[in-house]
Amino acid sequence: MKPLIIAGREFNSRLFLGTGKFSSNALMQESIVASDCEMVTVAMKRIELHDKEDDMLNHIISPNIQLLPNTSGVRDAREAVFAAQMAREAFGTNWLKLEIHPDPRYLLPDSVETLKATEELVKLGFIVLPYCQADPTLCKRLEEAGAATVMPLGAPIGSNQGLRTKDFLRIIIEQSNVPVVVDAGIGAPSHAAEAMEMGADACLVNTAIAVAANPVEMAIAFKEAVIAGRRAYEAGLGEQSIDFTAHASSPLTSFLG
Amino acid sequence: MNIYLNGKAIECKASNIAQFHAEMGLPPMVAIALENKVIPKAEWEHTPLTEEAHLVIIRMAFGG
Repeated sequence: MKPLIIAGREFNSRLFLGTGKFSSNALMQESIVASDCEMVTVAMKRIELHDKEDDMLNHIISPNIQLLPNTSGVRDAREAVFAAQMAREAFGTNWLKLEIHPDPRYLLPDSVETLKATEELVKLGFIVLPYCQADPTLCKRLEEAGAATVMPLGAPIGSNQGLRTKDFLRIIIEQSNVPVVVDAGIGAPSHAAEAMEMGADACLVNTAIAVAANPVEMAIAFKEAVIAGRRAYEAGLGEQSIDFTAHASSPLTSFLG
Repeated sequence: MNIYLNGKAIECKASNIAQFHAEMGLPPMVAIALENKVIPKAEWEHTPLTEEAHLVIIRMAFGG
């Protein structure tokens, strides 16, 4: 399998993990290790005095893992730029998952604000991975603005609905000159494998692993699905019949004369 | 002195941001903004806190 390269950094794993919703820090840590992932998202929150959970990062940090702080909770580009600068200070990285989703019901990203924020953050030296609508035109615009990847959604965050945007993801993958990471909505390993078979460069998964009855086993299942999907893509999948007719895979000469 | 931390009024003795961080016993990995301007760690001790100052302080959380 070819390694994935984002902003000059090489990744052997094409599975990115989110750290939300795990029932314990220990399970999260075990799932991260089991998944072999090398990119992990984290969020930010306002501090409360006498908040004593300061070892959170110890469950994640390792030399192989790129931390990817997100801007969850911001409502527009101005807030996103502020959050990004705070993240850079707190985590000591200029990598950023830009997410601007002001609507709490569907958590769908605001395309206008996402593009504006990408333009500004790239100028400020951030490596920007924007979570975005599966909109091929928008993805081109984000690429032109200097986004390091595009991260179109398969379905709303945490919905486990799979690749509802499949047809548009195909166009995005076909047109993109930056890696395409399918983010959000991936609810089963088969969804991840499907995205990878289509030529997506990576998948970002959180809820499906974190809320599984056995998150560590599910992390392994996703790891294997992403590898299988990618291998199949690189190996070159056969074409589908348009009309459901069979195409013999054995010789059809009469056997008994 | 009275200042605002994440919108809530609190009392403190600190006269700069580094002292405030120590006085409140905050974890090392936080980011601090004064009047909505992010203050890099290296500048904490040179950044005075004055009466009614507004600080935003964030820390890590888990998320996707």
